[in-house]
Amino acid sequence: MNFIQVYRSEWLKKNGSMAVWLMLAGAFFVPMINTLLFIFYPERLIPAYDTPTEFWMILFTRSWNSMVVLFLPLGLVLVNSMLCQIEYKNNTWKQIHATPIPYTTIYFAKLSVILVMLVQLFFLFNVGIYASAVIPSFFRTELHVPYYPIPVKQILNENLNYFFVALPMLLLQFMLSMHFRNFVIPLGVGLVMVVLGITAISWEHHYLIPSLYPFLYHLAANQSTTQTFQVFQWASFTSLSFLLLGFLLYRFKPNKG
Amino acid sequence: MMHQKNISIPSIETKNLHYRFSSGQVAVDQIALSVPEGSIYGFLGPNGAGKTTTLRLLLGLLRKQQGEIRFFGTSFHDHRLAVLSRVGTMIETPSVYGHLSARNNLRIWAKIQGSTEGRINEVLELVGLMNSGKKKADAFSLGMKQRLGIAVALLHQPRILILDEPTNGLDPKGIIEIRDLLKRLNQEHRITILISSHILAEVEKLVTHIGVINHGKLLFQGTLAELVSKQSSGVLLETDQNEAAMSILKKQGIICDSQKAFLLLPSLKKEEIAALISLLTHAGISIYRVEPIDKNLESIFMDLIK
Repeated sequence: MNFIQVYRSEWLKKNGSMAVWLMLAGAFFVPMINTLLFIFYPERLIPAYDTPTEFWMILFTRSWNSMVVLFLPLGLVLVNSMLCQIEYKNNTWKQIHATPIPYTTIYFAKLSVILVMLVQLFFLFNVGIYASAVIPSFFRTELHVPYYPIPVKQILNENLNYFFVALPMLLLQFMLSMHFRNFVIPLGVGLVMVVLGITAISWEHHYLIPSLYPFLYHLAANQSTTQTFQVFQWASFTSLSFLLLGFLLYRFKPNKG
Repeated sequence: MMHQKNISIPSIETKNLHYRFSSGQVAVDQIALSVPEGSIYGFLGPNGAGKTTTLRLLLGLLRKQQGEIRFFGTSFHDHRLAVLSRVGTMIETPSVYGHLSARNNLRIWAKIQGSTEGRINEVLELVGLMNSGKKKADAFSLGMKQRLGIAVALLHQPRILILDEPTNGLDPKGIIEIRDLLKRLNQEHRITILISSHILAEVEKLVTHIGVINHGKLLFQGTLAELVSKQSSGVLLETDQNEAAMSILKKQGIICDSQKAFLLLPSLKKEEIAALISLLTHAGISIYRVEPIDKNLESIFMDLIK
């Protein structure tokens, strides 16, 4: 069975579901808050005009500040739960598993949809960051449209890094959401991890909390920490572990719907 | 490779199929199903008898613990994907995405199975959902959901249809519609249908073959006629002197059961009944009631699962 066909079928399922709206809300929430902030408090944006070459990276980093701590890990928890719950809620696992599709294709097609949604979220978030600098200038005369060069390569690179360190949390949540019929379990584990992450940032074993990786990378990238935690190595190791474990749990689940 | 069409090979066959829940309860006990090609096979049993567990084992939704499953003579275990490409299913509740319309639900399965938009129109027409428009499946009545579930099962033009209680929750009109649809699919498209049910009257009017299951055991398997012929029918006789009547009948070579206020005679021809009445009346016995007993499927089924 063609992987692309199954992927397209999975993509169609998410249309009109809450997961899509959540992704959109997740992408635009922080930029929207920043937009309002700059409209009502233009002095928060004006200093960035002083360094035109740094303008976009200042705004980019400021936007990621809020995203990495709470909204990104929270979004990963919720989107995974919602997408996998589509099958449990509608009692459709039994129908999927009675179609002539290899288990590997089913698992990776669904995972691909979530990964593509994460790419969409990143893309829209960046669009939102741009809009948060432009829109306020239509409302406040002391602000102007920032015609500064956009460091596309640097922004793309940073996005890739954030994407990579977000994978462990995504794969952990995907594993849990695929395995448990009761959505409270993956949701509960995810929320506890997000809250724990916030409080355990200075804990010496913080590498055990995958929801923290984007934040830890953010601190390291902005030289806000002296800790030597190797976030990319840990992200690679935990991603592969959750991917393998998740697939094995799914493949050998005795009751398939 | 799938086997070539062979009339003697059942469409579905199991040998020693056995399944035990983790609690230790045996759900399916050494079942040997045989569903002939082109048949409508009614899989009958009360709730909790093991019907759904058997069907889920057939489709690999539960991991088989013991026994053998064959479709078209081919091992399901060895050729799962090839077998499933020829089987349409609806197990328990219909698998319907509530946030999508009927057409979009079918598009999901059509993309997987390579079915065309034209085929989607055909099955929507076939199950009477062509006019459901953009209405989301969540807003469908139970009957509409059942029909959409059947449409999903039919989409890839399967050779076998496995339906688990497809008329559950339907009103009488809906039941008749589904029954007519299944008959049509069987007769016009030669689709073999395995349908489980506990609605006996429904199955009686639809099936060519029947299997009765209870407590995980297959108690009967065969044609409807074979099932009915296995069960005794007879004549109920009520007189003012049952014991005297019984001894007269015994002398005539008719052995009967005494059941409180009446006697139960074996099945007799009309002429034999008339002769017996005449004999008993001449012996001074008053006859209050003579009633032929024709067991319907329901009473036969109840006898089997007692």
